[in-house]
Amino acid sequence: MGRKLLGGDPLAAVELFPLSHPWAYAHVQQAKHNTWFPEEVPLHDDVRDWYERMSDEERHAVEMFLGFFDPMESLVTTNLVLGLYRVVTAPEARLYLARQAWEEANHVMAFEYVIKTLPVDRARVFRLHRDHPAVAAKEAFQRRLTEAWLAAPEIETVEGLRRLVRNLVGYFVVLEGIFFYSGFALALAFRQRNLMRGLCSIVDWVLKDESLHLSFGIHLITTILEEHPELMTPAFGEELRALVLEAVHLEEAYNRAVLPEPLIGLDAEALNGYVRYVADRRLEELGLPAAFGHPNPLRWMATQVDVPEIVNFFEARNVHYEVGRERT
Amino acid sequence: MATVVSSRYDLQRGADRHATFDSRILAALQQLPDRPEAEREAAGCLLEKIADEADGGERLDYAEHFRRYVRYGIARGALDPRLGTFDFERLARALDPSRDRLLGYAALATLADRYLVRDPETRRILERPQALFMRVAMGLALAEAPEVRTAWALRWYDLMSSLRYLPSTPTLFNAGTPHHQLASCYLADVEDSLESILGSAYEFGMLAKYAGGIGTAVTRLRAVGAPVRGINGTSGGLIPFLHLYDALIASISQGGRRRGTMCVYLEPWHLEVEAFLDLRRNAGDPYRRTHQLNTALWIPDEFLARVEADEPWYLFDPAVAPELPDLFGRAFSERYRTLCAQAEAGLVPARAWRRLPARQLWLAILASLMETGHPWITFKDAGNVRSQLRGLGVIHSSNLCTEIFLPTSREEVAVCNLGSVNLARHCTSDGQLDWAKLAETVRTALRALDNVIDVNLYPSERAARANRRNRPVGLGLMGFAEVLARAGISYADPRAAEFADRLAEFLSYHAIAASCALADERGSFPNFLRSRWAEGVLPLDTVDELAAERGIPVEVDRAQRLPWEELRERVRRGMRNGAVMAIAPTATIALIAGTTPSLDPYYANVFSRQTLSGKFLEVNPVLVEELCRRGLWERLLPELVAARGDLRAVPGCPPDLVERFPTAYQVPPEAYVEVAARVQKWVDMGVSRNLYHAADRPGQLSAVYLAAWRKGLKSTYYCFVRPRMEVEPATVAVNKARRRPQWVRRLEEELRGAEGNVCALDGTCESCQ
Repeated sequence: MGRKLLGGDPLAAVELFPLSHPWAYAHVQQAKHNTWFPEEVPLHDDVRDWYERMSDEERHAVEMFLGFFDPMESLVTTNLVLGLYRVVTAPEARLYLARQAWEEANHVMAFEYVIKTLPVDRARVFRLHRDHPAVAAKEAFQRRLTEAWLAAPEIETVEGLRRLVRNLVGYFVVLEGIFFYSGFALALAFRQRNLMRGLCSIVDWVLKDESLHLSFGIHLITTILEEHPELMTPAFGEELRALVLEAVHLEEAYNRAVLPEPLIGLDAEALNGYVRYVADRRLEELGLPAAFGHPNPLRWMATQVDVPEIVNFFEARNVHYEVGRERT
Repeated sequence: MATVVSSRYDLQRGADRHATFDSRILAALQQLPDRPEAEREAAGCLLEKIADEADGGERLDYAEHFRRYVRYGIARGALDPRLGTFDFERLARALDPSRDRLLGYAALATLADRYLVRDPETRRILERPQALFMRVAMGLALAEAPEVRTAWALRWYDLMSSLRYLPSTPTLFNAGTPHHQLASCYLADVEDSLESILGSAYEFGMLAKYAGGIGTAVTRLRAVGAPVRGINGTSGGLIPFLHLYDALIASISQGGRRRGTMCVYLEPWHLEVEAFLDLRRNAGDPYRRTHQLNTALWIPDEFLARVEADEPWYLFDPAVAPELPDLFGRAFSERYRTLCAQAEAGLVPARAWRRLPARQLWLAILASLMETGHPWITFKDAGNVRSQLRGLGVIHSSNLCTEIFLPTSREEVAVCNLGSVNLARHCTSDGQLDWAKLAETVRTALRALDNVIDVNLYPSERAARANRRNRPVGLGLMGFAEVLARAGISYADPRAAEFADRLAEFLSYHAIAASCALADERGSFPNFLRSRWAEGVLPLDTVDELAAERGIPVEVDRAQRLPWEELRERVRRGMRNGAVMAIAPTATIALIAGTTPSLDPYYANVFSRQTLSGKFLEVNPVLVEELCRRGLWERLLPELVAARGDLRAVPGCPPDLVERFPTAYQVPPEAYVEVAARVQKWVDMGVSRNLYHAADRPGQLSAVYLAAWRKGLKSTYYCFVRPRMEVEPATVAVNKARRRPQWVRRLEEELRGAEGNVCALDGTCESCQ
C-alpha cells in the first residue's frame, strides 16, 4: 500500500490519485449515488395515521424514536469533524468522512422535517435527549468516547491508537451499527401494520446511508488493525467486546422505556433479542467471538429490509433510484 | 421460532377484538418467510376478522350475511338502491364461501384496507369478500334488462370470484354503490389559455375524486417568455402550471383509498422540454418540481430518426407552432422541417426556438429516466397511425399507465374502463392453457366492460360525450409470468415471445369477435362508420401501415394462426366498441388475484412489494412447488433470502432451476421489448411495458428504447434500474471483515482497471487518470 490511512499532513491539499484505498473511494462513489432529500417524501398519510389509527403507546414509541435519532445523528458529525478528520489523512478516506458528515446533517434535517410535520409534542421530543435517562445514557456513552479521544488525539502511541479504535468502534459499530439498527426495527415494525409509511421511506433511505457508514467503519477499523498489528491483543479484544456489551445494556434499557407495554407486532423483549443478534454480528465483524448466540427473533425484518423490493406505482416513494450517473 | 406477540397482550386487551385479530395475524406473518404456510393462517385469521366486523360479531353464513348487508347498505346510503331489483334469494344462495380461500393474505389485506364497502358514518366494514364480488356483478348487470339481470350477475360473480377475470380498481371500488364511477382512465388535452388550464384543474380534481387516473397533454402551453395578450406582459411558461397540477393531485386522496394520480405528456420539441425533464429531480427550486405528478414524453418519429442519424433537433415555443400537436407521421415531419428551415432563415423570433444535437437531448432524457424513473417514453406516431379511431381525431397523449390511446379535443375527454383476464386461472394441471375456457372468459368479460359505459357516472360532460360516441373498452391480461413459469419457460427464452404472440392473437380474436356479437345485439358504437373497423382494418394490418408511414421496416414477426379473414367480414358489419384491448399494468388487481401483474416478470424469486395497503413478501410459488417436489425447499430457503432471490447465488441450486427462474434484471431488456412487440401486434390500443435494466449508464438504455420504437411499440412504462448497492441485511449474517459486500468488490474492481489488475499506484492505470 502507498499512503497510510492515518498520520499524513493534515493541512495538505487533496491529491487523490493514485488511490491507496480503493474501498474508501468505492464508498464515496456509492454515497454520491444515494443522495436524497426528506422533502421528496410526503407525510400526509403519516399525519392521518397519527390522528386516526395510532394508540398513545404507539405515539410514545414514535416520539422516543425521533427524540433519539434527531440529536444522535449530530453526535456522529461532531465526532467526525472534531475527532477523526484531523488524523485520518488518506484523501479518499477524508472525502468519505466529509460526505458522511453531510449525510448525518441531512439525517438531522430529515428527522426535524418529520418532527415539524407530525403533531408530536415538539418541545418534549427535542429535549428528550436531556430529559429522558435512557436516551441521556446513550448520549453520555458516545460523548465519553469522543472526549477520551479529544483529550489526547495521538496516533504515535499504541495507547493513543487504541483510544482511536475504541472511538471508531463506539461510533461506526455501536451507534451506527447497533443503536441505529435497533431504531430501524422499531420504525419498520409500524410499516408491518401499514402505519407511518412516509417515515419508513425516510428510514429506508437512512438505512441505506447507515449501511454505507457501517461498512466504511468496519473497513476503516480492520485496515488500521492491519496497519498496526501491535494493537490487537487478547486484552484489547476483550475491552472492545466489553464496550459493545455495555452498549447492548444501554440499548436494552432504552427499548424497555420505548416499549413499556407491548405494541401489536413488537415488544421490548423481542426487540432486545434483535439487538443481541445484531451485536453478535458486529462482534464477529470485528474478529471477536459472539456474545449471545441467540437466533434473530425479528425474522420479519427479512421482508422489510433484506429481500429486493418493488414499489407499486403511485403508492409509495421508490427509494431505489440512484442519482449522479455518468452522462454517457 | 419465537412468537413475538406475547399471550400477555391478548389477556390485557381481551375485550378489544380488533387488536386480538391483528395480533394473531401479525404473529403468523412474522413467521414468514421461514414457514410459508403461515401465510394461509394469516389469511384465515383476516377472513375471520372481516366477518366479525361485517356481521357485528355474529357468525352468519354467507347467504344471511348477504341478505342483511344489501338491505342495510341501501338503507345507509352505501349501496345503489337499484340493487334491490334483483332476485335476492338466488344471488344469496350462489355465494360460494370456499372461494374466500382463493384469496391470499395480501389480497385480503388489500380488499379490507380499501375495497370492501364500509358504513359511510362509522367506517365499519359492511361486506365480506364474496359479497364484494356479487355487489360488483350486480352493479355491472344494472345495464341489462330487468328479467335477465340476475342471470348476468350470477355469471359475472362466478367469473370474478373464481379470479378468472377482474375489472379494474374503480369498478371494484364503486360498482353497485351510489357513486358508480367505474372507469380507470381519463385523457384530456389542455388548451393554451388560463381558462383552459384552470378549468381543467377543476375537472381533473373531480375525475380524481372518484378514482380515475388522468393523462393529459400539455404540449400546447406556451413557453416562458411568450407574450400574453391583454396584460402587456410575458408568460411564466409551462412549469409553474405543472406545479399547480402537482399540488392539486396531491390534495385528492380519494378517501385514503387511492392517491390522486396524473401523468402529464409533453412532446420533445417544446422549448421547455429540458425543464420538464427536471420536474422529478430531488434538488432545485421546489416550485419547479413535481414530486407527485408523473411525466411522459410523447415522441414523434422525427425525433428518434434524428437521434439515429445524429442530426440537430429544434425546440419551439408552441405559440409559434400551434399546429404541431395536431399533426403526426409524415405530415408532422414535413411541417416540422419547414419550421426548422424558417427558424434558420430568421423567420421565427429568436426567443421562440433553439437548436441542439438530438442525441444530447436523448441522453438527457435517458439520464432523467434512469435517475428519477421519469419521463416515460411513449411514441406519438405509432400511437396515432395504429389507431382504429384514426380519422375521428388526433391522439394527444396516452393515459396514466401508457396503455390507452384515444383521441381528445376541446370537446372530448377520452374515457376508458378496463379489466384483465387472469391467465393463471386458465391453466390445466400440466401447466398448459385451457384455450376454450379462456375464450369463454373473454366473451363474458367483454359484455361487462361494455356495460360499464352505460352504467358509469361521468364526472364531466366532456367525458360522457366522448365515451358514448366511441364506447372504448380495454381488455387486458395478468399472470403471464406465472403461466410461463408453470410451462417451464424462462422469460429470457425466445419461446416466451412466441407464447406471448399466440396468446395475444387469441385474446384479440375473441375480444373483437365478442364486440361484433355485441354489435349484432345492441348496435355499433355511434362513430363506427368513421372508424378503421368499418374499413375492415384489423390491428395487425396497422403494422404495415406504420412501416409505410415511417418509410422504414417495423421489425416484428407477422405470422398469424386464426381465421382472421372471416372475422374481418364481421368487423366490417359492426363493432360495439371503438377500442377493445389495452394491456394495463394491473398492479393491484393482480395482487388480489394472487398472480403476477400484466406482462411483468417475477421481480426476484423472493421479494417484497410495497403498496398503499402494506409491504408484502412474495416468493415465486412455482419455484416453491418445484423445490418442494425435489425435497430442496427446507435447505434452500435461508440461502434464497441471503441471495436476495437470485438463484445464481444459492449454493447447490440445480442449474435447470437457475435457468428457468431468472430475476427481472437477469432477463435482457430486449426480451421484454420483444414480448411487448408481439403483444402490440394484436392489440388495438396499447401495451404498458415495464422495463428492467441492469445498466449503469444512461447511454446503455438507448438501444433498448430505440428497439422498442422500431418494433412498433406505442409506449413503454416504468423504468426499473438495478440498484448498485445492497443495504446491510437484518436477518442474514454477512461478515464484512471476511466477506466484503458484493457492491464494494465490484466497485473496487472497476477502480482497479477493466481487467481486474491491481492498480500499480504509479498513475498509469485507467482509473487513476
